[in-house]
Amino acid sequence: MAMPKPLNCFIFLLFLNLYSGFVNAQMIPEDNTVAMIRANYLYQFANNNNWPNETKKGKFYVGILGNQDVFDIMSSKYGTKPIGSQSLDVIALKEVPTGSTPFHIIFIDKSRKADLPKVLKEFKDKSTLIVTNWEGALSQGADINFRNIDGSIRFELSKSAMENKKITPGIKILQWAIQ
Amino acid sequence: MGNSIIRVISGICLLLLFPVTTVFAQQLPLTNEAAKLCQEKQYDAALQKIAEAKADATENANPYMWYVDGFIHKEIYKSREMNLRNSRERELAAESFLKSLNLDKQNQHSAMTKLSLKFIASSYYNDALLQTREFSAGGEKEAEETYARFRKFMHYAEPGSSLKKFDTEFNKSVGQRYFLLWQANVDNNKLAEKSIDYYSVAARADSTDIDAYYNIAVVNYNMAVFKYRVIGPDTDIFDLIVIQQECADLIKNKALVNMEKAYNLNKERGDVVRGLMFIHRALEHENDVEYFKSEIERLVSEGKIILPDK
Repeated sequence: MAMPKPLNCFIFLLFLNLYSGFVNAQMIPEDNTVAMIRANYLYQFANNNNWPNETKKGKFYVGILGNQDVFDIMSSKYGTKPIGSQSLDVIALKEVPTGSTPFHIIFIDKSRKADLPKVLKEFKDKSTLIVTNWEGALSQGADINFRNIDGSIRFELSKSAMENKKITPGIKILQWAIQ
Repeated sequence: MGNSIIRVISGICLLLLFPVTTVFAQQLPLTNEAAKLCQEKQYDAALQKIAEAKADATENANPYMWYVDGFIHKEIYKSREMNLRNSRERELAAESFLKSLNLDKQNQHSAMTKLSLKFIASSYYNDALLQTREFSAGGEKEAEETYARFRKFMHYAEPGSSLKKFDTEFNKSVGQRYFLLWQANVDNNKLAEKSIDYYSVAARADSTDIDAYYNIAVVNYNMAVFKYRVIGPDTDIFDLIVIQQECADLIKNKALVNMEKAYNLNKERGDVVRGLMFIHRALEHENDVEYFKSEIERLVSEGKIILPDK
């Protein structure tokens, strides 16, 4: 005996797709990680090298030429920390400074590499550590140069150039410099 | 959002029509009466009547009786227990639908039974997704159990159909939850690793899923950024170098690899292009940074993306 077919029912199925609404709520943070590391290295250079006694008065000046992010991080994260007995003063440089400000460190970003000769001239015979971040900068007169090795920022230095400026590289700095 | 979705589901479910069964009147009088009572929304009376039908050997052996029994429980679930994750009525409905399918050797009612079972399955899927938005660390098991029920019932409702899409969405949703838990406690990297694990399961389930790759990349990149953020005046130079090596591995070997997979699947996605630009910036790949910057400008000018507010 064949049974009559019951009326079929219409079923509306709703599979939620909750995920799609917030799928990429995750955003990549905009932190400039390279600038974070460079800023810390500059602080390490300030703390772990030794400047001549006559420069240990007043403020410890760090000038940043051409990299706003490094300046921002350096001044916000390290600006209140003393270097020995000196208070740290981080200065964003729009132009090459004159030798009248006794900078202890000047960082010249690659975007301002053309200004290196002028900086060298202005700070000739001064105990100003010149830090750069492009290939070949040491041979152009920089004292310390950042290099990227497999995604890690390391640094190379010219010990003789530093010593000529009466800046004594600290043991930690020598230890971790690229040979 | 969850409540409004449930309201939508409820609204749609009201459209469900119970099979008007003047049929089987002679063969299955008790079942037919129960069906009518259910149609009139007299659910308790319908339950009593279907219980009588179960006690009748002839009706008990008929798959249609079990279909009606399942349908009554389903209607009760919809009207009374829609917000109950552990609804007993839903369980009973599913059991009866499965029994109906098992008895229905001639497939006389299997099409409509499977459709009803699919409704039950979808309700479990929806609940599983909602659970993924609420659990605390380690609490994903409940959502996984609910999702397992969805898979089980879909297996019977649509035998042989691929659940890849659902597996992917579910695992991404658990991954997203772990990401949010991690954001609230960024020192706990286990949460981030859990997030990556679930996104990885999603990527394995569907190797064309851009979101899964994108999110694996973002979690890895963020792990690196959070490590970098800890760097400060008290960081020793040795630690600085160690942190960088850990971060280089996260960024270069994990974030970049997965973001490139996402990019290769769709080169027009703004979030992916933007992600690649930041990853390359972190690795100081200047040419790549410039390229992806120009790509972002192009996508913006073509109206394909809108840059997020800072």
